[in-house]
Amino acid sequence: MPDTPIFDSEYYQPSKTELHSLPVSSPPETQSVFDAQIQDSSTTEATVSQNSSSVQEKNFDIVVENDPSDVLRIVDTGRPYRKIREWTIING
Amino acid sequence: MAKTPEVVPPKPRRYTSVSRKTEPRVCQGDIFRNIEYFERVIETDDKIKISSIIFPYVIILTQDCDLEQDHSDRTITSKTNHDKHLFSVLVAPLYNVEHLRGGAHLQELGMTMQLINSNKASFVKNNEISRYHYLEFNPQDVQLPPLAIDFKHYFSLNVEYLKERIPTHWVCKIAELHRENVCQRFASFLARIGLPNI
Repeated sequence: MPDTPIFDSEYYQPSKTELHSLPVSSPPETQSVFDAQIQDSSTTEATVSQNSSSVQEKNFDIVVENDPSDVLRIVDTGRPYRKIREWTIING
Repeated sequence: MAKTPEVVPPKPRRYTSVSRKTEPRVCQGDIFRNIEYFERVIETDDKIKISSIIFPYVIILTQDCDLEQDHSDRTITSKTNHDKHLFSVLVAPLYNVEHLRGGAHLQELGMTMQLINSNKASFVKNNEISRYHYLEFNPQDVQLPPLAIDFKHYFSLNVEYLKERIPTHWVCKIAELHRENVCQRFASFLARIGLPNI
């Protein structure tokens, strides 16, 4: 057993609760869903601004919206899962 | 007189050693959690869809010297060229061994994988199947379940993407000796030669 913990204070240290969510039987975590949605909205903003220039090149008036089905599945089961984000382009 | 059954002491567990994060860069052998792999971008007439896969754990496989030189190239502004820049970093996912044995570790992706029966389970644990590398951690060091790297599922990630996630998604770094073992086995897996059936 090491004398000092391996984690530097400035780095992330997973809590026991998170780690214990790994087994198959672990239920969906409300907190995870919340976090993921928050993270998504920021990602969306970034992508919107990036998309603007490329879409304008195609002579679109662009409205990019975050689809309600943005987060299809955020369940922390310890397994990989797929996430699909969708935006609608409205022609001018 | 009945013979007293011999008590066999349990085999000592061979844990994978981990080390501290000492450098502010992505290192070979680092394990990150909840990493997003961008699968594809689909553009139709009026929709843009981005499909990604979130992997609970990945391990960095790119050579550490390459990662170090890339970091120097990006941070030392006086350099006159970008010869050592990397476009991406090779990683491989780590799957919970219990999920892997049941063939259900990718069920959230709609994929059914091969069952690993109890006989083959020991092969995985002893690293006798070239595709997998078994890692078991001392709970005193880091609280992770037994994990297996799947070399077949390697993919690449952007260097800056990973670097930005060090403060929040970095879990641990496996110690050098174990790291070398992982990389030697990964190289061996990639270099295998497929022969036709006779």
